[in-house]
Amino acid sequence: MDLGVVIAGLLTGGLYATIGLGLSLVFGVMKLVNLAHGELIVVGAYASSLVITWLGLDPFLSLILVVPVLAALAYPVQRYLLTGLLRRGLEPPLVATFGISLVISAGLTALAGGDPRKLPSTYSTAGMNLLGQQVRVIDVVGLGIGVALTVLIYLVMRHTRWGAALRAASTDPATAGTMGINVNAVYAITFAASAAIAAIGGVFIGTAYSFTPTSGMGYILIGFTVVVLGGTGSAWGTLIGGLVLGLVQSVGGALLGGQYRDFVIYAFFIIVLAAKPVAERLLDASRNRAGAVRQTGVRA
Amino acid sequence: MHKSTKLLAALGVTALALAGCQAGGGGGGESTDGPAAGDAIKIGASIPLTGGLASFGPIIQAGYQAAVDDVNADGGIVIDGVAHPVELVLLDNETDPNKVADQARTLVLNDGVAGLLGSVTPGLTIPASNVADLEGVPMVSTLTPNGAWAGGNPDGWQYAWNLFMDEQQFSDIVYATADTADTDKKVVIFADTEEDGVATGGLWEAEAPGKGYEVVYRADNPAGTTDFTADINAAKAAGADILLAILIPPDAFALWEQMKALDYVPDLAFCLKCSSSAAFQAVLGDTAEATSNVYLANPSDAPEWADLTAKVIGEYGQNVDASSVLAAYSAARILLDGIAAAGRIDGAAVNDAIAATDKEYPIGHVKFRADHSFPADAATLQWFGNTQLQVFPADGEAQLVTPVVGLQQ
Repeated sequence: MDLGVVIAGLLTGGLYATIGLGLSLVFGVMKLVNLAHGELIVVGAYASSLVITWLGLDPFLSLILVVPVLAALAYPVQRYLLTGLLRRGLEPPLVATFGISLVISAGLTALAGGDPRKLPSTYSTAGMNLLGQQVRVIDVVGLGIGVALTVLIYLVMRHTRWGAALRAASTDPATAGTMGINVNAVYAITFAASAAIAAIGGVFIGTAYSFTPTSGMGYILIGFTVVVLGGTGSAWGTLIGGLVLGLVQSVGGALLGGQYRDFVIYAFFIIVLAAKPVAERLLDASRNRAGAVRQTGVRA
Repeated sequence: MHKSTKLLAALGVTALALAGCQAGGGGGGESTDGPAAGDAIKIGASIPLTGGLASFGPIIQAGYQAAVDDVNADGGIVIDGVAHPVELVLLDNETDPNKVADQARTLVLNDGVAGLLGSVTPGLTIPASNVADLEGVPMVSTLTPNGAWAGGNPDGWQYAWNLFMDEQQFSDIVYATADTADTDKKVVIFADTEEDGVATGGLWEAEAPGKGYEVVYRADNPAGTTDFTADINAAKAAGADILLAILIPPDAFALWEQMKALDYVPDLAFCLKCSSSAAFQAVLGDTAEATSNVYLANPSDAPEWADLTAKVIGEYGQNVDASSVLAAYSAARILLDGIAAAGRIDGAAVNDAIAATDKEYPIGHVKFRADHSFPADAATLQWFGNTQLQVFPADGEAQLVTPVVGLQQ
């Protein structure tokens, strides 16, 4: 196995992290499993296609319009539909987001047809040398986007008032409400931010690959795998989850053959799920022992 | 809920279930001899209007609809001296094989269709063919390689018929075309893990040594794969001048762009299934230039189909989409001619009439083999702009271009 396989896996992982970030944010703050996240990604790609047709912009320049529009459309969905449903338990919003995903998919098919599309750009076929390996420029851009979004989310969460409000609403919404935090608004802004991230992912996917109204399902499966691998609500964890998933997929495909590519990632996913509680128990036990040793030392 | 409401609900559900059973058992309430006077004769298909094979859906829909329109323009189908219009019922299977069987069953049991038309690719056509055999309703399909389709029922199909090319033709013609080019005779294969990918990819590899070629690398990937970087670098390192691919279109779009970015320019690049719709060139633009495809040879030049051929090519351009429309048209006409020849909509009678087909259609002179398939003539076509021209066997349309100039930076 050569370095090229590892690099290809890491570059793909950047895209996987971008897909997982929006899901992780929403689940981490609201415990909401957004089954329409894949469709939001696809809407981002179609919206960019529309802007490109109208204004002749570059796909990534179209983000200036696509990101705020998608965020603005997502805000009322959370504020006036999903937040109310969240009070009735986790299942109603789950079903609602599934319904939204079906509506978006059917709507896009009716409006744009089922043909595969691609966002036109010259750099999607441009290559470059990275550590002695020939790679696509757009894949390096994809990794850059994943890392940049991770850093941005981390900084906003840790170093802004909105981040503090978001963490408070996530930890204890009732108490946060009594402290003057508008929890409903925080939830809606979080969902809008998640849609904005989905739009960025959609424009990247539309430029690097192709998309159809039903492409979203494939991306949601990848997103969930990344989130579970990396831990919910953690931006860095999601980035690491994405990179690990890309790497496992690429290395697994190279070692076992491409036909086992999907098998490898989901087998790895199941192993991680099974091993995670055991590892956490071992870690806790190790911490407890260390604590006991320190206490003994203090007494002595 | 009140007791009375519960009772009403239960009654409603029971009534609906009984209605469903009645529709199923009675084939939509129609007699098998013929529909009531004034009623339309229905035929139906489950086709991919969305999903990975969505680019084929509207094309075969257009072919089926054109055949129905032509028959209706000629007065419909006469049964027992009464002319009946034909109605086409289409359902979108979203490129999901699991939905095809359900939808085909719905068409037979709920809509009462007298015959089924096929989907595209073995993965979608075989489930519908199974329903045709189980329900005793004839079905004619196309755009599905014959070998993989026939392999879907080792006991042999009874009510299902298919008209397309054999995998053997795919193998013979790619190597015969490569013989006319100056290459190092090294081959790389990119196949997906669908039935036709496995069958055709396997045949290409098995037959290469006998044809004087060496397969230096083979990449089998599941449909939906988007990253081919490692495979392309391996193919490049192996120095393969000839690339043979059989992939679904979205995967091929990614592969072609990645080949260009990674500076891999083979002398010949075949893209079967993937470049079998005009979407290939529409999406890839210049990158598609000089990509080859094995597809149906130029349509029948029989005078009775000249107007139709000219009309379809005028609408779709000189490319595979026009060939696919004409193939779908042929499939629908064979089914409708079968119903007309049988003089009733009884499945067995229509099936016997289809078996006896021996007639010129746009796809060629159709006479089915014992395994219910018809091998249409195959040709190598190459993309020149948004047109696809036949380059092998040479018919004066165009000459084979090497290397694949669309992949050059």
